[in-house]
Amino acid sequence: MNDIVSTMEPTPLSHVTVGDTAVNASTEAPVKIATRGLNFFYGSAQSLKNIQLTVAEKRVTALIGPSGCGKSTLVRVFNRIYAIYPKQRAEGEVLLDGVNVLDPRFSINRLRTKVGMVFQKPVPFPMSIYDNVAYAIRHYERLSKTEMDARVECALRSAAIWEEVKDKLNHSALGLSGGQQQRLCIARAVALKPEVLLLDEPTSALDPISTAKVEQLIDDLKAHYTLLIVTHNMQQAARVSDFTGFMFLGELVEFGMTKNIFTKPTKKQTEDYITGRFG
Amino acid sequence: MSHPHIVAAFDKELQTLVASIGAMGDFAGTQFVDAVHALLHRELELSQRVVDQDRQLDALRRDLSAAAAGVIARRQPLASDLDEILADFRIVEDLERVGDLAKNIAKRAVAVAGHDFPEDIVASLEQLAEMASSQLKGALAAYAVRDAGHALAVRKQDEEIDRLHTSVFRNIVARMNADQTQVVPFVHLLFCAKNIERVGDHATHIAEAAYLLATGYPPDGERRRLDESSNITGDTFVGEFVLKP
Repeated sequence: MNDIVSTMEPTPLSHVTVGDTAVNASTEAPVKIATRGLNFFYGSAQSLKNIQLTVAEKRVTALIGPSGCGKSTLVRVFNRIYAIYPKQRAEGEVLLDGVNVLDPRFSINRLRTKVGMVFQKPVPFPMSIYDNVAYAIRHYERLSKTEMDARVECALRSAAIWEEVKDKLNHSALGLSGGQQQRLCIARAVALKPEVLLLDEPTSALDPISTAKVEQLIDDLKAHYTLLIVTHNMQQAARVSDFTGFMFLGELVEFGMTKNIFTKPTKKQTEDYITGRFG
Repeated sequence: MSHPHIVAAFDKELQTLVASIGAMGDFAGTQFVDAVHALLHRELELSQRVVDQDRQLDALRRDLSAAAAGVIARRQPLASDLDEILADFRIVEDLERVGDLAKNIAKRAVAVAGHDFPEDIVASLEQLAEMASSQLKGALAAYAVRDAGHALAVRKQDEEIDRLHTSVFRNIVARMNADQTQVVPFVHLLFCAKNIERVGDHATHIAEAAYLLATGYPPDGERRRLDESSNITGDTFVGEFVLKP
């Protein structure tokens, strides 16, 4: 399929502002994703309002906020999942390495090889563990059996689950525990060698041990991928992320380094939310 | 031995705290030793350096307390992890107080710099300081390796410091009675002796925290407090001692 990315001029992303505040993400790491004037609509209802966000490369950025604030909506804009729903639309720009991925000329399939996603509820395919990982690869690449075996192993090792499943790759993925299924879903996402991983409440459905394993995995993955995580667990956001954005009623209220957001937030709304005074 | 945490960063944060507290303890111990040396050997430059460097201990206290608070905020530690962090808070406070006591001794070293003290008092103060310094090092070592036996030994040793302090106190009071032109410098020495004894107490707190971390329980029984200086009256002579009933 044609990828017209090369005809689109990239925009320099060295510095982006959030409202009146200069985001310091660029002083810590290059900017991988930047939104400019991003608005989103479910029919006539606007759920994202003028979002100006930067996501630093090979860092973890967390989005927190009360239910309905637009966190998951924002994350799902980055890989255009909304595109299958005719009454949903995005306006503005999402720049991935300076190229606007909301432009209709930017191939969705190409986008989804660059931007992988993991959802709250683990959804393994009803097939073997091996085929769960190999399925998407087969759509994009023609690999020999040996090459595919190596790629599957690499993905499962990246997701810290290889040792647990290496002797039962032909077993159904549905027989795995919840935590293992989620790590398999992460393996499935990294199998395509994306550049960005979107994690929408990846541990909400998991027990504490599985949660800890996924958090350790997130720490390992950021050496190779840019991660954006949505979470309701503020302590988790404080543990795993480098940058945090607080959202409320479709707006990005405050964004900054995680250690500052959770110790000295500048906006009262942020303080009220993280201290449990509302939300 | 307990397993490491699943999230390696949690272990790293705890290990960094332990190592940092050890370094703070070494520095506080050095400040104390230098302050006593400056007092007893009239080294004014050294005493000024101790005073100036105390702000570094204050900064360490702020930074390590913030780091421990960060662990609580991020990790929500429970059980032995919670004991660890709470003990770390207490130990950091104890070490900062050791620094303050050293600074106080160093300041008094300047006040008494022009005076010659009797050799036996100098020797006994040096002995008292050596015991307190050893007490502090022992407590920090017990904390670093979670050695319950060593922690208990350090705790027991505080009784010797208390006894020696009482003896030093009596001796100084007797000298003050004998020569009232020397009251002011001897009063400074009394305060310094008390500061040295307090360093021993702080070291004992650290040893008790180390015992708790090693065993999960505080040490049995109340610590015997054998410092009787608060009972000494003005009817004290060199070679004879009168205590309140």
